[in-house]
Amino acid sequence: MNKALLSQLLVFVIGFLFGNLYKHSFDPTFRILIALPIGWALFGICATAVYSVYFTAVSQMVLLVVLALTTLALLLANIAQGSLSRDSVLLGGAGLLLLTVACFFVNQLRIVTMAPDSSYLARFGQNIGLGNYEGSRMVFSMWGPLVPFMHSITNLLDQKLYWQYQPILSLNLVVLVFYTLYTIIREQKSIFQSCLAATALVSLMALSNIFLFNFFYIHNSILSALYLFLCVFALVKMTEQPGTAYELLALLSLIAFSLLRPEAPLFAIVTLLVAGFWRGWSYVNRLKVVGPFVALLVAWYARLYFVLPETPDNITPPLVIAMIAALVGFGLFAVLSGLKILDPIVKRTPSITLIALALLGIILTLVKPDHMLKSLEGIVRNVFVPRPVFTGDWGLTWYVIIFLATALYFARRDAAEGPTERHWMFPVLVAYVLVVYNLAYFREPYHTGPNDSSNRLVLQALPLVLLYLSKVRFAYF
Amino acid sequence: MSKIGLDKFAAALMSIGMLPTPVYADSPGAMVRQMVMEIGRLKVASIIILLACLLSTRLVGPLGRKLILRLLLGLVLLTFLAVQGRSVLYTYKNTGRYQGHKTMALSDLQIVDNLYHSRLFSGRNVLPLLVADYMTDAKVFLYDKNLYSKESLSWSGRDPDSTFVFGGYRSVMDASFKVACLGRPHIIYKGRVNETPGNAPLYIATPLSIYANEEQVFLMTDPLMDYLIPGSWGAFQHE
Repeated sequence: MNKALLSQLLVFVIGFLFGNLYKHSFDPTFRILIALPIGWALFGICATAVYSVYFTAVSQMVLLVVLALTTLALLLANIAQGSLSRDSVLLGGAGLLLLTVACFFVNQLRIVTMAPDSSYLARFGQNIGLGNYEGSRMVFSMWGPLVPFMHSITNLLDQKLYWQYQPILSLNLVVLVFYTLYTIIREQKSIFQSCLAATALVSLMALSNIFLFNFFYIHNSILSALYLFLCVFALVKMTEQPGTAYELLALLSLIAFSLLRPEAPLFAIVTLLVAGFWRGWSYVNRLKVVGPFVALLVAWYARLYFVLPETPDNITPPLVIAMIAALVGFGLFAVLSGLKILDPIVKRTPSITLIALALLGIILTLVKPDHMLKSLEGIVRNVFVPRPVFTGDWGLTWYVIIFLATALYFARRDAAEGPTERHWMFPVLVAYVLVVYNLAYFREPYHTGPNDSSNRLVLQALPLVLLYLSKVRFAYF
Repeated sequence: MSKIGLDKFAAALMSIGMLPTPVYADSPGAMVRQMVMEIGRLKVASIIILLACLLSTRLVGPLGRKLILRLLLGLVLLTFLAVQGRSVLYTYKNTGRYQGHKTMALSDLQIVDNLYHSRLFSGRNVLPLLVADYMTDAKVFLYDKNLYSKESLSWSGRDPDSTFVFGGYRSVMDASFKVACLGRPHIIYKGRVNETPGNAPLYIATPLSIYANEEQVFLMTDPLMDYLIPGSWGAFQHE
């Protein structure tokens, strides 16, 4: 336990030092809550860089040195900027204490939920840390590298399985969602009402067997949900509080999210096509997020092309090339979006994206009707239809969310128009659903069951739905 | 006309939500019955009543509307908390999903706790997990070079060339030794052998930590399955 705890404390310190550089933009509680996700995102980026360049038994030591240097650089930057005040040190200490308590609690529970995917992520991930190239590269053809990289430090922890990070990050997600929803609702409601509303919304997410299964599940679902939520939240805040802080938060979350699942970069691109091209976003702001995102992801996928095993799993060389083409195309579009001649298209990018995704969905359904409709059935059944033994379903979650949205729609009719985010958060959610549906074409049809991909993808979107409800709707109630 | 139109529209909507229904329900009425059955009558009735209540708010003033909406919301949330709480409690009590585990190792979770059956690590292919967790120094003797690919052996995290030895021992189980082995604590791990042609169930001695003290481990076989035998059991005659 001690070394597993220490590893999380180190990651927390990295994330906290980063967040503390922007202490005027991030309030203290938010700084603590984003420390661990930011820390793991920086860990993932460093690991991706190190292992992409140099994959041997020594790479793990190199990674540790890079992380130490990153920590030192962030510490020096904090000192140079005068951000490391007494308050910040106390806040960081309090954060470390809370994390330690959470780690001890989680360690006492000793709960872990597993599926075949968990064993691949963990086993092949552990081989990365041992510098075993042949024994680990299969995992890169299955998922993004971030979770395997997290497991790569297992050999340093005197454990056979590194499992503690999962419930800790799940807890982090629950508290983060609660806090962000609370702060949003608090802008218009009393403390008591905001607490009540945030608790009700978070319970919609947390009180279901699917979520609880994923809470302890060694996989990338909760992490994807966490980074997607952070990314969209940062994009929302970017329009409210211009500056580097939320731009960097959005960028880091976007990169970490894209390093989790093979199809995640597509979700990231679609999200940026809708949010990043909405009115109010400047050309420079767009490039600040899109540029580094595309550059890093293209570099990773270019490296991945040569890493894939001879008999790859989900991610094949043609798919890698397609992903690189999509990323480069998106990057080019973002660069050229400053041209006057493209103005009519750029202004309508969110609508064009939605229409294109919907048309693509129709075409794919016509090409493979049985396959696509079976997937649609799988998604609908997973979300709405209870199973005889209800240990793996959503229960009433989505019914209540739909009721809530309908009730809030009725309440909203008495109120004035809301802020601008209402206009892009809803299209982002619609686009997300369309991408989930369209992706079914390129894989086995979604099926019913708690471990199905569609369930995990729906889980990822749930915090966004809650954010949307709180951001644009709850204030009217 | 409008009735027919509505029926068709309803049928189209139902067929999206309940796709297999057209197979056994060829009319909108049958589809509705099927959907109600699957979702549950109580739930469907609740949805209809709630929708009616929501629509009725259009008939009252803003203050009355707010009150009705708040009451409805409270009712729905309380029902949600009760139903979901019951569901989670049921899962906690009736499944081992949220029980703490004694040993946190992949091989224990998969083989002993039997939490899942992975495609790549089923039957005798579970060997790389065992080697990774419990045979960090032992030499592992395999009776056939073609049983495992070199890549799958490298999944153990150890160097295949220095870890695995092919042949050089008597690999077929004799009857008396087999009886002795089956008399000791063990697990016969099948996993998803049906999906992997050529795979076979594996006899594994328990507790798995028994392998941690071994310098040599032997994979033996009989017509039914393979046996992972600790070298200290001493039944091998090197050829």
